[in-house]
Amino acid sequence: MDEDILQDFLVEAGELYENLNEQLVELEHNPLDASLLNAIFRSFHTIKGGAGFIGVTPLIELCHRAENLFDKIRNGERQYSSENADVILQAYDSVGVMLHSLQLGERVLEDVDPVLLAALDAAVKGTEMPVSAVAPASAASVKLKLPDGVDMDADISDEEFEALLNQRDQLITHEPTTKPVATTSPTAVPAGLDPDGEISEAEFEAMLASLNAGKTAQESALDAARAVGVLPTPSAVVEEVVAPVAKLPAPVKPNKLMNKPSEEVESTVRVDTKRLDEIMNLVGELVLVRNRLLNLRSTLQNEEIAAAVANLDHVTMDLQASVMKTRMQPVKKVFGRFPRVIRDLARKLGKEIDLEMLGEETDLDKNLVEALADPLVHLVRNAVDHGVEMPEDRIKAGKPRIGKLVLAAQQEGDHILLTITDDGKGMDAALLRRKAVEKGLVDEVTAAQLDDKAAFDLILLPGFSTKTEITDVSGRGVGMDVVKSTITKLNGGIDIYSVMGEGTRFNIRVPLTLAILPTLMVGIGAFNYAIPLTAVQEIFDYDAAQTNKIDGRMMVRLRVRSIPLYFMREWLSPSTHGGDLDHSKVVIVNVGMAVIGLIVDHVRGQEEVVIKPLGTKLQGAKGYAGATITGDGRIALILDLPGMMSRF
Amino acid sequence: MSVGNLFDTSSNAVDDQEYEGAYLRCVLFQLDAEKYGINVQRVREVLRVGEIRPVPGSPFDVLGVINVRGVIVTVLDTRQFFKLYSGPITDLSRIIIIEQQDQVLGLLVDEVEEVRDIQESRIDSVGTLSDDSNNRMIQGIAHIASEGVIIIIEPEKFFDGFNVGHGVGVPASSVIDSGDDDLF
Repeated sequence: MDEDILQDFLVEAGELYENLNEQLVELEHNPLDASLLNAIFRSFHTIKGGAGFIGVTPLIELCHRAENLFDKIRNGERQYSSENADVILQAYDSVGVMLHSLQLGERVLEDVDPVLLAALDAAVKGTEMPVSAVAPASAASVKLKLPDGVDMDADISDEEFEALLNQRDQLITHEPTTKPVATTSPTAVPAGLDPDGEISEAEFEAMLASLNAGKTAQESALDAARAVGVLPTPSAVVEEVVAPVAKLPAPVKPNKLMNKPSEEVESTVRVDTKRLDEIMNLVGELVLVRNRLLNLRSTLQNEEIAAAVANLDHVTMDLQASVMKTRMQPVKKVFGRFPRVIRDLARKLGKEIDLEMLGEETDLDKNLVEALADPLVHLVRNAVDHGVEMPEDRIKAGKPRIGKLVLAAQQEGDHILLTITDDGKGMDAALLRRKAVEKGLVDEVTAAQLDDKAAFDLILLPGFSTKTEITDVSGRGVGMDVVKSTITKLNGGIDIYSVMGEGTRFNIRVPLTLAILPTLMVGIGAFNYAIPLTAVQEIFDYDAAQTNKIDGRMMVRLRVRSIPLYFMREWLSPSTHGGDLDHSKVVIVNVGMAVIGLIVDHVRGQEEVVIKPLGTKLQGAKGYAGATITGDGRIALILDLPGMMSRF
Repeated sequence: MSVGNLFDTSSNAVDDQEYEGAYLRCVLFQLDAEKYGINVQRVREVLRVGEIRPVPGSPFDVLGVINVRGVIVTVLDTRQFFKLYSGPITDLSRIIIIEQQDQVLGLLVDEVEEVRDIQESRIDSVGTLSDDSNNRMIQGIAHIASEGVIIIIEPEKFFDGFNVGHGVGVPASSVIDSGDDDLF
């Protein structure tokens, strides 16, 4: 199996697979949408074609049947009933499983569940679900296998492949075809005539022989004779050979022609993200050079140089923006999976839910798109499970029977705001307070002091779950705190709003890109360090009079609280003790749920930095999120506060 | 600044004695009193020593990091590997950037001399004098009549072992450089 081809296939099939997800759910709403049906048909067809190319038999089996079913549906011979939808979605899921195992490096896949194949066959035939045992049995016995000795890499044309599959189908179903001659002949013809046909006659013959193994001896002998003889011995065969040639260019099956990759106009290029990172890196360097030139311009006072530098300034800015854009992907990539998630979940729970998605075309950084997928899935599942009520309860509460879930994305300055809103029962702040106390997460006094908004935040604590029973949907209490920490890691934030009886809204704010991090640059000793700005609460002058030593730890009084202090100089070089702290500053930061004060020598100001990984041997170094290069070309280390705390 | 520009490899490149058989092209450098050679194919470039930014809490053999055209490169205190005392950085000090697959490392050395072809037949294995860790850094020893001993080192060994001196953390930057494209 050619690895390069396989990888290309996986990328292409992966995209089709993702699109199918959305299309299939949409189809349930518009089962007669012809263009949608065609699109789905084509997707299965293309995946099948690719699978045939790399020789993944189970995948071919599956896609071929799905394709056949959709062929019937779009021709109006079958309906996309909810029974058929269940079978198709099941098939779709196993396509996903197979693609996933291929991606994980498995090269020999398990056979498809014969029950699923039978169900698909039954759906194609239009009979009821579990048909006779004959179909699955024969499906298992007559496999489309390339015989040994056939070069897997040899090209086989679409037509040949189709014909092989169709032929096999006939073997399985034993249905008398109206024109057996016309259906078998295309297999023989392209070998000699198709321009794409690089397959040798011998190979082709062997292939046919293996296919025909299921036929009677006489039949296969006849077929072999046909195959060997593109030779026109019996006059009947001559007709077979000629007829399909005339047919091919005619638009008998326009879908098949449309599907040929050669006819698609490619306007995109696939690029490895590593390469984009390299470009980003170099652009970052260019920006630094420009900054130096801008400094020089003011000292040199030469008009011509000034004009050229101003020009460079503009070009660099545009270049930076363009490169950033190449890393952007529409939020749709994440949102796309939700219709299916919600459909399945709502069906399982017996709820009725309408999903509305807004701002799907909003772009954000590719890495963010991937990182956000899991937290969002979790929130959506929660909204369906805990938020939206059962239809009867909704009617009792005077709400429309069908619940509503809105997923929205929009850009807000240098941030993206994602909201998940449901019109369900809302959260009970009093209940949350009580639960938190019961679970020992907060004490009673603190709980009583929390306002409603803060009470909602309790669900983000580790170990909090209001469902007493564990379901496989949600409610294991390991979700929300993971959501919170994932979003924090992305330098984002999460806000919860809820009104009893009216619904709940989750607001998630994340930066547009992960490549640039807003930081507070501080000086400790001779060196600069960058603290992620999202963690910084406030900064004030160090005043020894405001500190106390409590239980062996230095604390600073800040309004009505005492906050533990960490002396950065000691942490960074334990040999230096004490020293002059007169002009030091205290930077108050949030680390997880805790608030601490860092003592630094200087505060240099706010700076947006490009995060670069530390070099070899330092990649796992605790306390650092990476390094960056400051405007003067020097290196500043970016602090990772939770990591730093664990080292203190 | 590449090695090719730095050294004129046409002259001096061949050992003065009659020349036959396979040879190893090496960058020769000085460390304390000894002369070392490193396979030129593993050397990406040789840099003058600029500012080396220390990384508090890093393994003992790491001097710090430098900025090589926008990429952060770790610099090792090469003397540590050969159980020598750390020496001062002088005008002659250089950082040899070596590479292995995607990884790069800087080696701080006292002086870089030249690029030299050394006949492989002249390189003797050091055998098992001891199983010291620094012994494993050494690929062999070449005896050259005119100038004595050249210690040939194995650059791979610098990338090995004691990567993280203090536990494995998950820095936020790991989110950035993951190029994996998980479609499912």
